Formats: sequence, C-alpha cells, structure tokens
Amino acid sequence: MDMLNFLEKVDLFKDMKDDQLEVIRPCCEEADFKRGEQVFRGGENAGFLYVVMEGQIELREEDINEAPVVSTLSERNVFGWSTLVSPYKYHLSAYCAGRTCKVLKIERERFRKLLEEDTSMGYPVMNQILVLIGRRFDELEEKVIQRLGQDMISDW
Amino acid sequence: MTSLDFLRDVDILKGLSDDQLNSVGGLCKEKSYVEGDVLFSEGQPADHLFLTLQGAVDLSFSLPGRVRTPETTIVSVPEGRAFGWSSLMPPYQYRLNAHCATETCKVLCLAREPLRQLFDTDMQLGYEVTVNLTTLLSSRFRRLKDLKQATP
Repeated sequence: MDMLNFLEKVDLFKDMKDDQLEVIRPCCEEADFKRGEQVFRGGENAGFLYVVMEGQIELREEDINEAPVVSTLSERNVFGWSTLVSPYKYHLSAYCAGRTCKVLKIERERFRKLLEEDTSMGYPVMNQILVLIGRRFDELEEKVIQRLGQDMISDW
Repeated sequence: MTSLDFLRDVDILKGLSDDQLNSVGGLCKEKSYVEGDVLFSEGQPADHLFLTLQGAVDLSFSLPGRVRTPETTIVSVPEGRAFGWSSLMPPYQYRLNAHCATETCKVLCLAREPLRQLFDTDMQLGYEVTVNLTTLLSSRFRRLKDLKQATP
C-alpha cells in the first residue's frame, strides 16, 4: 500500500492534510518481524514511534516473552508513545505476536522537530498521544486491580 | 485572577509566555477543601482539570468492595502540580479518586470547554500544555506499573 494511503487511515494522523503527511513520509521506514521477536524492550531508549501495518503486536510488562500481556495491537494501532514523552524510554516491551508482522517506524528526532515547528500538526498529534496513553493506563490499571484482587483473595 | 508567579511554576504550564499564562489564569476558579473531602471519584464525568494551589491531593484507584487504602494511592499531588487529565480525553470520566490529603487544601479548577477553545485558538499553547500533560500522564503510568511490580 502507498505510504500516504496508509498514514491517512491511522488515527494519529487523521486531522492532517496531504502536504503534512508528505513531510512525515521521510521520517518513516518499514520493518518486518517474526513470531516472538522483540520490537523493543521496556527501559531502552525510545528512538521510534510505531504503527502496526500487518499482523499483531503484543505489549508486555517485562522484557521476557512470557510476561503478562497488557495490550494486543492490530493493523493501524500506534505503539511506542514514550518516544514523544520525556524521559524517552519505553515503559513496556513489544513483541511480534503472529507468524510475521510488518510495522512502520517513525524516527523520533525528525518527527518531533516537525511537530514543534508546525504546531497545527503538533497539537492534534500530541492530543492523540495523550488519548493513547490514557488507553494504556486503563489497560494497565485493569491488570493491577486483577492482581491486587487476587492477592486479597489469597490472603483470606 | 491567579498570580503569574504561581502559574509560572505549574508543571503543565512550562514553556508558556506570560501572556499565555494570563490567558490560562483567566479560566481558573479557586475551590477549598478540608482533609478527607472527595474532589472527584473514579467513573464520574470529568469536566475539570485541576491545579493544586495549597496543600496536597491524593490520587487512588478503587478495589471492588474495599475502602481507600495506602496501597491503592498512586500519587500525592503537591502545590503547583496538575491532576484530572481525564477531563481532556474520551470518555471524559475520571480514572482515579481524588481527595484532600492535608488539613485543608486549595485547588484551581479549569473547565474543559473554555480550555479546549484556548488550545484551538492558540495551538502553540495547546501543543506545549499537551506535551507537558503527556509527561505527567507518563509518570502516573510509571507509578502504576511500579505499584504492580512492588506487590508480592
């Protein structure tokens, strides 16, 4: 699929005009992963924002493959938001969950510069990032409540 | 009108000019609480963003069938810090409980709609505040993750 056709379908970029998508295009590259391969590890320097192009990605709490899954992502879902948020380190670890997956990588430095220079693009993008972090927060909170609830039951 | 000196030190207002701070200050309404008062509860409609002006506000999440306990408190929000970010994102419901944690506390309330209008009118201001809010939310996310890992 053409890059612009893909980008315009991603929620993060839904308010953008074609000329704005054009300036984002050079920050983007594609990458392929196989089942179980790690896309990034929690705690490492967050150099890229990612969008799922094909297949599924799982976000896990620790950098081991069997750690609890916080979120399962499919096509057009964005992940790796820590790349745009201080201290620029991934919180969770991301793994390819299907046989193969293809992701779009958006390079942090160039992308951030674009957002800062054109805040008519930067504001809606950061607003979507805020919504995305809120969603992850809800998913993680759900896991914490389950875990603490189980601990309470085992204390009885 | 809220003092410029206070607003200059607020975490989510970092990077704003004095003119921009005055625009935000014009939207603030002050409210006072005493210890234990609930400012909002999880699940309630989230119409306001808050700044702690004096004292501290504790944020906690609910465990079904349990009253508030220390282990469910994520963070204590001191003076000059913001909370209530759920007011700026769907589904506009508070995700946590907030209560006054000191003998008395004062907060500044910012209603969502006028704040949104300000962001839309001055996108540079909207961008700066939103970037600061993502940093704040990221630290809450980290606290929640640490809390989970700290439990046996």
